[in-house]
Amino acid sequence: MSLILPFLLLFVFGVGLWEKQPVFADFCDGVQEGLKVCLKIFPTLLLMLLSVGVFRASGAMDRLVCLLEPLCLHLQIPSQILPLALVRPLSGGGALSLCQDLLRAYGADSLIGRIAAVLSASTETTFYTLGVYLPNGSGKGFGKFLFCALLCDAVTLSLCVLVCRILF
Amino acid sequence: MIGWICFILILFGTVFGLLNGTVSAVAQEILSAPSRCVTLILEMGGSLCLFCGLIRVAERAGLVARFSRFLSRPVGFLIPRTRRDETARNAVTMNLASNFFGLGNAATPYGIQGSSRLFQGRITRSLAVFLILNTCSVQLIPSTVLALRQANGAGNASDILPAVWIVQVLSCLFGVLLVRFAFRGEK
Repeated sequence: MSLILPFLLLFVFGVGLWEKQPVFADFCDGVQEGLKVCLKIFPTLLLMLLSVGVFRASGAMDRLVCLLEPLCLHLQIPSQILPLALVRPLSGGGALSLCQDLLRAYGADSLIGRIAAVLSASTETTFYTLGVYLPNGSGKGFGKFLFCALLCDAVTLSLCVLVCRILF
Repeated sequence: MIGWICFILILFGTVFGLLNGTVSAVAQEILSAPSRCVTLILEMGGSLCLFCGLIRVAERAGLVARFSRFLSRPVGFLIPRTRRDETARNAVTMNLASNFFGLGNAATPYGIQGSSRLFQGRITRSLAVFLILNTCSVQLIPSTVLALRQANGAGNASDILPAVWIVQVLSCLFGVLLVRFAFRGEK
């Protein structure tokens, strides 16, 4: 497992050098871009982390998780994950903050932390994507497609839980 | 939208704080969350920038374009409309390749172009397969999540990668089979 990242680095730099690209300049260019991304997500993250933090600190999050418990017992998924899974298709910033909240509350290496991370990494902001790619928002078959996409998100959630339970 | 979410979360937090007697924790959270956010950005920022740099090198070295060409055959099989339409094929493969390497900003214009070529006044089966490949995330290195794990003190932040890849492959497989079945009459 630990070989993945070193190999990836060597591979990308190797191909760049082979293709006679200014690898160092390109890398620095990309890092600049990364800094801009950080600045861009900071305001959203600040407000979302604050809102989610207040929600958890007041005890409302635990209450919500308790309410969701019976449903989750049926579906065999940890109830702590469900708020994240419900927000994930709607809002990227919200999902990021909820994921951070779970990692902080339960630890990055806990089962819940891992499921939260895998779920965030293998799903998309479904509604946002559809809004961008289908601007007219309609067309015949839109409802059917939306149903398929959300069903697929639900299946991905159970796959995440299953795969994490097996691997970790 | 996001304004409403925040308002509702803070409203529930405050009401619960009053009911449970945790108002002081709520007030403390309001001031401590922003400073934690700064720490988080600083700790995430390093690895996020590393991946951005790496992706830029990969892009300039032609890895994305090469991968996109490699995709044209499987894409032709999954999305039959791209076989005849070269513009659509190029847009679709570049979109999928950019997403695969985590270049969300580069993927969007290709995605819009591709989906408008595949749209025929209704959602065709080709378009449905293309869209489901976009709503199921396919990303080799989920850099934000890895950075988040790193910032939260994970022993080895990248050890979730095999799990992520397995889930991505299975969920895409399910998604594609599902829409191929659901849109079977709409070639």
